[in-house]
Amino acid sequence: MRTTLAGLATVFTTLGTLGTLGVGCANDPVYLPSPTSVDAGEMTDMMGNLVPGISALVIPIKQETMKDAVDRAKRQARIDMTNPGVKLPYVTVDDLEISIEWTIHNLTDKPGNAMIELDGANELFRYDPSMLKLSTDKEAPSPPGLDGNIPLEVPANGTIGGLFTEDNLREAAVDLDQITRGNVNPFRATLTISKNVDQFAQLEPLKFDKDGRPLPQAPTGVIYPREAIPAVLEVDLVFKPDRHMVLDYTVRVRDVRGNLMPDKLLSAPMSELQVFAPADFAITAMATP
Amino acid sequence: MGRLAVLTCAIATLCGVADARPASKGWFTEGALGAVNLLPPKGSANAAIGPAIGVRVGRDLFSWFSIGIQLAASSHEATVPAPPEGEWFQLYRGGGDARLTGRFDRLALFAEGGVGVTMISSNVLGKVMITDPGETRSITFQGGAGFEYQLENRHYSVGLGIDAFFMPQFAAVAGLDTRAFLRYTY
Repeated sequence: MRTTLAGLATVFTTLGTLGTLGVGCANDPVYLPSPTSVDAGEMTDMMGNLVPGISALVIPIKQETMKDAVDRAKRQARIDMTNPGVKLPYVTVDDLEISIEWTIHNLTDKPGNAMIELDGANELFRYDPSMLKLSTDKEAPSPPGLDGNIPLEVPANGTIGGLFTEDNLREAAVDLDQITRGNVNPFRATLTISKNVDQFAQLEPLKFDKDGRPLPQAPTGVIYPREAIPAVLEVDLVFKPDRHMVLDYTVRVRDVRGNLMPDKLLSAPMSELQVFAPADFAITAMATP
Repeated sequence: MGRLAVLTCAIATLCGVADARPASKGWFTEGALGAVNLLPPKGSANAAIGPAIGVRVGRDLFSWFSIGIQLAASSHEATVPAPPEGEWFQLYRGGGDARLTGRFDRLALFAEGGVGVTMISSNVLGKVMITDPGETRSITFQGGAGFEYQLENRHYSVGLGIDAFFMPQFAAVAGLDTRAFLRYTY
């Protein structure tokens, strides 16, 4: 009897270990290195301002399978009955968990400051604050990035590191959709925490008063459910050091849905990848008489 | 009295000499805990030593020879140039092996070797060209030695083993798997 029990215990231990090995394989992260190091802080423009370094990385996504397309069409039909006009994306905010790890290296022998601004694109729109003009007031603050823009001290010849977390990127994805399809003022979208919202309401397009300041907006009645919020599929980093520095970063992606990332990632053949053409999003504030 | 002595001698002759610490022979399973260290130059520079767990199931074909299959997993911190920093990856190894054993009373020494497959959980070592794009598996050659100590219960033994393994597809990185194990023979 003791022998039988011991044997059973061993079998269960073995099965438990096999189970652990199997579970361990699920949802493993992949790492996408920055295309090149971002070198900035040396060149100036015509006005004498330092030119920021800009880097973009498009997350490779496999072509949608017929099964996924049919499934999405069914969900779209269901959404159309309650919220006509709300388009379901191929890759939703909950399909991918993205984070960005970065390091900044100060190449000079003096301490300096740097900022990293996170922008990006989903499959529908690209958000670039330089395309926005939210006020005609010259002293108004510049339109915000989706995240970042925090002053960082970098010691002389030193290196610092940091992270845009999965929460940051989830928030950025929701903010991006709120700004572009939801017409939410970018300041409001980025200053409110929305990463866990179940839905958000579309507002009337931004209008400005005679002084060029944005007017209050009313809801249009269109509701975007969480399953309609697209994931960030392009990461844009704007690197703004005050002296010569280099930014390196790696994008870490967990494929929660499990069938979105190609095996060869950035080396995957184009024929294997879904091509997205996000439109550039722009707002131009104009004084309304 | 003389008859009893003869009978005793006859029984002893028929039964042979009893082993001081008899060990079971047949199907067995082993559970192991230990550590895996990837070897220099490329392995140790880019991956830290990590905890490992493993199981081996097999059969003693003879008292001195057994065959088996083994599964093992180890977890390592990637120490590639940052970024990324502090990220971990796992190695999953599986394969078949054969083991030669020489028993000396309660101690047994063994040598083993086998071939299998190793799977890596992420492409974090791609940055240092240990893995190529899309490459997650490598054939693995493994060999090592160790010893077992037979417990009072003939089904159980404990032991220590050390195996070197070699993964040609992962930039020919080699590793060392050191483990303590408990063996149960049915």
